[in-house]
Amino acid sequence: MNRNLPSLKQFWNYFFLAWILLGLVLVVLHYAGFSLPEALQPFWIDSEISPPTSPSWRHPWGTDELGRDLLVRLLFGTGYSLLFGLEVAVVSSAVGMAVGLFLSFLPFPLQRLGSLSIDLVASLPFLPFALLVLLWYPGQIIALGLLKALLSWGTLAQAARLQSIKLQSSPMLLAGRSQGLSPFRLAIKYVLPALIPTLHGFWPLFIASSVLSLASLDLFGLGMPIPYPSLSETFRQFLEHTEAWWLMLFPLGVLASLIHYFMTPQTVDQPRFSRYGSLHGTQISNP
Amino acid sequence: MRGFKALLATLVALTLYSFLVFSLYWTIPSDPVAGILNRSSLTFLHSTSPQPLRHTPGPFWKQAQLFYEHILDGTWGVSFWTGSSVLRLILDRAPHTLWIALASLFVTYCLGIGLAYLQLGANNRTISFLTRCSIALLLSIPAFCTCILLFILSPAGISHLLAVLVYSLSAAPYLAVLVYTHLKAETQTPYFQAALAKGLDLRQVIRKHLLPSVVGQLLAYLPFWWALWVGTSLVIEPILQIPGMGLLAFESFRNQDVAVLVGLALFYGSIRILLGCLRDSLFALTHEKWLGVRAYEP
Repeated sequence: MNRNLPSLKQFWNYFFLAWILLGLVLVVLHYAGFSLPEALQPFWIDSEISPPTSPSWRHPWGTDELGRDLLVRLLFGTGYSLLFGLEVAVVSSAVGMAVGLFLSFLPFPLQRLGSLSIDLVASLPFLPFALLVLLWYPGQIIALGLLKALLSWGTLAQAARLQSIKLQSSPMLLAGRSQGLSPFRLAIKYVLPALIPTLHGFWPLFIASSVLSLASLDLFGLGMPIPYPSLSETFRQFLEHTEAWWLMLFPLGVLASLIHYFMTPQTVDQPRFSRYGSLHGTQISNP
Repeated sequence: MRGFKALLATLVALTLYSFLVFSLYWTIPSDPVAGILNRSSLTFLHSTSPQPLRHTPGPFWKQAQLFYEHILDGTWGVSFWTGSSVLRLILDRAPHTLWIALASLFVTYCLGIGLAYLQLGANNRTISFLTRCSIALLLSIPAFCTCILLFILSPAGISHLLAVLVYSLSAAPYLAVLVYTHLKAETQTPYFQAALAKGLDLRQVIRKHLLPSVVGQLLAYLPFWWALWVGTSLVIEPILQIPGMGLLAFESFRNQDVAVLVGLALFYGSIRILLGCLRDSLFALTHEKWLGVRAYEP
């Protein structure tokens, strides 16, 4: 057997990475006003068929109940979901890291108070608040992402705080302190880079959780604005057309693969996204 | 003294939490009901009911005072749509949801521990691999997809049973991962190695020595399970048409009933805080009982 050939798992990973990139590129091109061919447009309705149609050469993954190509819709849906996930991940990471770092340099009673506040924020349930926000901002995906980020940063902040406290007793930081460096400088120059592996571990989880939350809302037509493609819009259609198996099978495959791609390696396997140990560069190798 | 402190901390946490909910609610601009239904239609619908919170003019502190008055008088505000007390509406729906939640919690624990045990203790590598694959699969498939598939494939009239199954299937893999990680770490401890060296069977060691040490993980999982369950119930109940709190949230959204949505957010969050308190208390008790050490003390 040729060892240079990728295994099935590697092949699947490459294939899905290509799928994700293609989805993102299509969304960016669409936003930029680039004129895509008719068959690659997410809102294009094929008027020559009677929807929903099963998979064929014309529409490899079939069409939805309005006659829109499912493959294209799912590609765009992947792109939009990932952009939503990225928005949540960026904002949550920025807030979580800043709060966690700041708290770790405070005296212990204040840290405890901060920790309690973080736990309280983490207790706020997303979906009831999402419904509240959607009452005022219907279809505002950015507002929804900000809300999700607002409720998600707590866990990262706690992890960053604990990690930073652990690092503060490391020889490197003690040396920095003895040289008269300010806490701000210590935090930015020494602690923050050492927290990047922690951040790497959280990013995929933020993205997977956001994709799932958006899909839950999309199931009822509450997430993405109605004409825009989403990953779970066809599940609703499947409940009305139970004979149209492709409305369930393909979106389920894409959604489950997306969640699996980001979440499962972090939980079941070895983390794919963390390349370094948790205390990388902060310990003396030969004490 | 420790119990009193825990109670005090929980009360403070609940007060702060309710204040957070109110602040979030207050920061959202304008009045959704006034935008959708005009004043006359509101008056027609609830001519005898008190005016809802957002219709009260006044500064932040005055509205906060009214919010806490509603909480303390046991009504939690008045539903815009039905005109009845929000707490009454929630408590009417709660039994449907909470019975399913309790049943699913039991199944989740059984399934989660079972999967972790199978993954670690199976002498057969194929069984271990298959268990690992099923955990990965269950983690990847969203609960609402499982729900839709089971709903289509199963006969009518078993929606409560389906809900228990769906909740358990979606929550159990997280617990399995948690328990498995803990058990795996415990296998490196000297007492486990000593038991194996004495010639005890691996499964026997796991059952008799490792599984009791999982109690802490099972308790730590409680608040997380609640958060997971809230998210799932809000999606599952409208699909299965279970008249519980999830369906109430969905109906309230459709009817633009903000008071009920705020009440539900308050209810869900408060239960999570109480579960956190319960977890800490139970952990203190079990830690002393099973591990023979004074909890929370160095």
